[in-house]
Amino acid sequence: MPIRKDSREKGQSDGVDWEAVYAGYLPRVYNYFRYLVGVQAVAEDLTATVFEKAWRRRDRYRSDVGAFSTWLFTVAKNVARDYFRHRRQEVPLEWARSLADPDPVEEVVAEREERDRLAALLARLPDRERELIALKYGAGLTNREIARLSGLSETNVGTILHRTVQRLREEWEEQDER
Amino acid sequence: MSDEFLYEWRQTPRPEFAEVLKERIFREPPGPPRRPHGIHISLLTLLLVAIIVACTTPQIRTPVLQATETVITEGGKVAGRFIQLVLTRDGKPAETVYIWRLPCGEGEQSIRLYFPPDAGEGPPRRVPIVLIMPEEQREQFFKGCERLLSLEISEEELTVRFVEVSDRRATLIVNEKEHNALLTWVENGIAYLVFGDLDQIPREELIRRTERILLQGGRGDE
Repeated sequence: MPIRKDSREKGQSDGVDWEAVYAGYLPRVYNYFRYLVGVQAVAEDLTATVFEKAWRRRDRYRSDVGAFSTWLFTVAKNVARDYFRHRRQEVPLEWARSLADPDPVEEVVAEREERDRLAALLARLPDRERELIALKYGAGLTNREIARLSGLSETNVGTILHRTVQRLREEWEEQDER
Repeated sequence: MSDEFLYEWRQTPRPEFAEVLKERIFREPPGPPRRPHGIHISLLTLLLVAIIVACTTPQIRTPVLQATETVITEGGKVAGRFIQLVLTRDGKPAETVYIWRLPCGEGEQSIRLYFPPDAGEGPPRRVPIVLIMPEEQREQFFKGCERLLSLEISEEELTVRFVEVSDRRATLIVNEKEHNALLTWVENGIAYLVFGDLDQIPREELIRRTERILLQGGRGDE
């Protein structure tokens, strides 16, 4: 779709203020990937890929077709899909450490410990459940937005998220009891 | 552990990462965005089935062994017709021609797909065919069309390059994942698409074979 002539100002296309988009969506896309892959460096790489692609393809966004967040996170989902397709056999070092070392050394601060524990629990989730958790808690999308992106019904999204959080909570508590 | 804990795991991106990325992205000067290869990618979804004929090209006047036509409807309206012709040579199946007709304005627009004899059995059912052409040609070609089945696809799965086919500027699209290729060009208002299964016919051979077809039959001059 061609960009409207009156919106070809710096950082704008189809009425989108890209400077504002960058400021607002960078943390959400970045956290989507953090929840999905669990590793900061990888999350940064994937986030960069999303924004580079979105910027290059900015003429394809049509505000009359859907919300900008849906378009941007569709790009993010495709980037994630490509990442997992090519890297499925590789285990990120931070994950491996979390999984292999359930009792971190004493000097590791409690916050880091909890972060690693959660990363390890997320890593064990099935792909679909981890994806929904990443969209909900990492990207901060509503169940309705997630439904549009995933093709699931809003009710289904809510149900799966509820069960997944319950499962995470149970596993977390099981580890506490050990 | 509560929902809140899951939210609290969020982090602010490192400022240096955010700044470097922002500088890199917005380095591109303002103006029209870059279009990869200056082309627009669309997908036409195809469904096969049965009945009749339309013989308009010299090739189609050759003996037709089998002809089927599928009318595709959506919401009670005709969304397109798909015609499959199996041509014969010396009494044996020699070539399959597919014609995809879209309702456009008062009439129909035809897209013809040629399958070299050893390119496999044609498009598998329900597998989308890519139509790719410069946007200005596309807009002209589909002017008045009620709708075009169109879907964004991941560019990572495709490699696209322009090639010469008997002095025609054509586009060769290779789907590395599905290992097939599509050679397409537009001439006299008709989009020509040649499909090849790369397991059976190398991409360069697809071009050479298409050139031979054009030289022998002159289809592209219609």
